[in-house]
Amino acid sequence: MTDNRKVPSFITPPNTLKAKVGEGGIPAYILKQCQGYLESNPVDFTPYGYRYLSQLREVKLRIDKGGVQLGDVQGEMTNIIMQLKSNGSMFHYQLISMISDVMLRFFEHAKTLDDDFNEIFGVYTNVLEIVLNKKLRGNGGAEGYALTQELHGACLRYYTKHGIKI
Amino acid sequence: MLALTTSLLTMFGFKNVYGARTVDEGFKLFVQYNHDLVITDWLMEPHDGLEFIRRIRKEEDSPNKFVPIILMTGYSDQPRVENARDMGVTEFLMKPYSARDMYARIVQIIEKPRQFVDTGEFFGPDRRRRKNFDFRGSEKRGEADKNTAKWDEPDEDMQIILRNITEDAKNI
Repeated sequence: MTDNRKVPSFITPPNTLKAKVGEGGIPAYILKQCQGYLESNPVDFTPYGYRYLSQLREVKLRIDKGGVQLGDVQGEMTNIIMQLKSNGSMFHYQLISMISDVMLRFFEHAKTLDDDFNEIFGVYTNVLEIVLNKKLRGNGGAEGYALTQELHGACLRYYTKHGIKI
Repeated sequence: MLALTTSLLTMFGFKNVYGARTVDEGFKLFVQYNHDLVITDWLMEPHDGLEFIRRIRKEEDSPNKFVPIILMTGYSDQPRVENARDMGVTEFLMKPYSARDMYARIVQIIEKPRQFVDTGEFFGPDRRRRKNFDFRGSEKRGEADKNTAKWDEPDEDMQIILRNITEDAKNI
């Protein structure tokens, strides 16, 4: 399948799943039960959260020691923050997902490891630590929303200051 | 996350749901059981979900190179999505996901299966499905929910702490 043919070939594979499930979907009440299961899962996210926070701080220590460029740590940090964004909400910590989403976009556009970067990153890790320490489940209410907006605002100011177009 | 996803699939009515923590383990199971559907996370160690997809689509001992693959990811910036699409992913599932999100991807795979293309350089589901990444209209997934999102009410101490950090962010 990896020879360098120029003419593309189109293949229609057998739909084995369709053959097995037949017609009709699953009833709405089962979907509701499934959603209920997701929302009520008893997994304690905090040990994972602390592990990711600790990984972020290790990277930050390397940065503070000097000789590290943003590009050297961008992938590693993005992966850690992606885990926090993905799993926070799945395990009842929506505020972690909200602020991690802001940080992912920030990391996508950030150019330099300067004081502004450090301040934004500091606010992020500060919130993570507080949420985990206080076991603040949910989205943090109006204050959580305002905080997310303000963190996003700080990122926008960083973009403007550094001439970054998004 | 693995336990959550496998349990959800079982609740949907899937039989013989297998979970694996690594790409090697997953591929070994796939070779052994030739599953009808593969769902993989992007971030795994030591190899990631893209490597799993590559092995399924390209390795000689893969029992079904056409198997539908859903890739779960927490980040969907365009270069990443294109990279995964070029590896042969069938559908994406953004995390955090709801039961309805997962169900919708499975229905899509069953009811609207995609042709496979083999160009020599690329082998996988037909990539010609357009998505407008610049779209910001109200129909964008999740946008509608934002307007009806329920906000929690943390205790007073927590409200004060969050307000203080918000002030810190304002000063950056």
